[in-house]
Amino acid sequence: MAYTLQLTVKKIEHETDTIKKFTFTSDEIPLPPFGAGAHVTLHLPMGKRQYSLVNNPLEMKNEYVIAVKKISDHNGGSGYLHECIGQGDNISVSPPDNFFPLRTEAKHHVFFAAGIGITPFVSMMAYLKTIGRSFELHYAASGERECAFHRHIQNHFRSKSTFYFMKREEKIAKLKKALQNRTMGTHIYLCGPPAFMDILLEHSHKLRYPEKFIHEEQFQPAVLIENPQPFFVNLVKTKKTFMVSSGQTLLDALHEIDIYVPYTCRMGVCGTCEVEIEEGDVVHCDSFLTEEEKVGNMLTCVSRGIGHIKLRL
Amino acid sequence: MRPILILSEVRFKKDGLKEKELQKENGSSVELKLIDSPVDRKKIEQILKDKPLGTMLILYTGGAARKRIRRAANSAGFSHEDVRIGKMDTGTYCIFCSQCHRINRTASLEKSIICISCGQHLEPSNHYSSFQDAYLGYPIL
Repeated sequence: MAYTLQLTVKKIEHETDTIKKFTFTSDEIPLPPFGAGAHVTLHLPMGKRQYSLVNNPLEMKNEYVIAVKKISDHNGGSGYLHECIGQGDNISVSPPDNFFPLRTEAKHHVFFAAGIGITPFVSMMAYLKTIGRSFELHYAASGERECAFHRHIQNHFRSKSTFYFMKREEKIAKLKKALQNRTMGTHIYLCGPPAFMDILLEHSHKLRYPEKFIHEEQFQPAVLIENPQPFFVNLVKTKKTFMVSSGQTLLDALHEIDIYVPYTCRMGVCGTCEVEIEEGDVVHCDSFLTEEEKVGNMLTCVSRGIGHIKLRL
Repeated sequence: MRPILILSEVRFKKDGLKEKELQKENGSSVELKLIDSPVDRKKIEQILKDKPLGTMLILYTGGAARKRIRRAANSAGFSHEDVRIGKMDTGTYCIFCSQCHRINRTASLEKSIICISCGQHLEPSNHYSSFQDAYLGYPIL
């Protein structure tokens, strides 16, 4: 099983009225390094929550810094961090993972952020500035007051940043325009609410940009099942049968009966937990497998069987 | 469909034009540029500059030009897989000797050859290396 780090909350700062910046550190261990675009997983009483790191990976001083927007009461992850966590508290954190890395082959990086989606780009821009690479930021927010890292961006990346504080329709039109006429060597990165991502993704398809040049950050499965149902699983090689309950993932159920399937992201992004299907219908919730691959394979971290399925395990 | 840019040496003009027609039929927007030999790197850089995101580059050139263009294309932001080599009937094929790494020339991929450097009996395969600009020759033991 993956290990966790016991970190201390060193500092909490107000970034906006609803966004707080948390700095974690340890006096006992050197924190593992990370790449620009990486995130950490916080182990909170209500479950695991992922947050992008906002510090510059090349200037990391044994600290992880995240920014969290309060979108729930204290029963949710963000509300808990805002209301129940204070300076000096301890928190369990999984070491950084990076499913949203910068593409080293790019000659120019273009970032599109909306709201709290700015966080991975704060780290990426600091990194690119340090190594002297070309980038630009397009950042949509409801207003300057609600715009996280506004002053920081103005101070450090002013000439490379465009802010979009206007009305929604005008904002969308301008963002679409900013996406147009891009040239070879450009890689485009999107992070923000699903509606924002969908609009820009759709527009990039319209512009016929190949998918390999467009990158999006995901912290949840591509498909969310509102009311997950239990299902039965037969493992044809190890000859085991078990049930996956409605509140459980297939990956967890497999680990419970000591069938170790490797995993990393738990969001249907990385493909590590892929298994072969022998028989049965599956609701695929990942963003990793192609339509052809989904015929005989599934990702156990997010996808679920219907009724009874057989796996080649 | 991705925009297509075909770079063809004048001596392969016929092949370049054929490719252009084929790509047009497939519905792509195609641009064909004829280039002189030997290839002028600055001219190539000018041609490749600011091409629309997603452009596919197809080359109808000899081996030396191909290497130069690939390098210029990489600098302009084209990845290895954004550059394809068109199929030309040049009359000769290069075969990479898997034993001594010598590049041999042959008129056909169908017949086995003897490596001119080490004497190894080689069977040409369809494994093409864009790095070596040659087909891999398997040793016949």
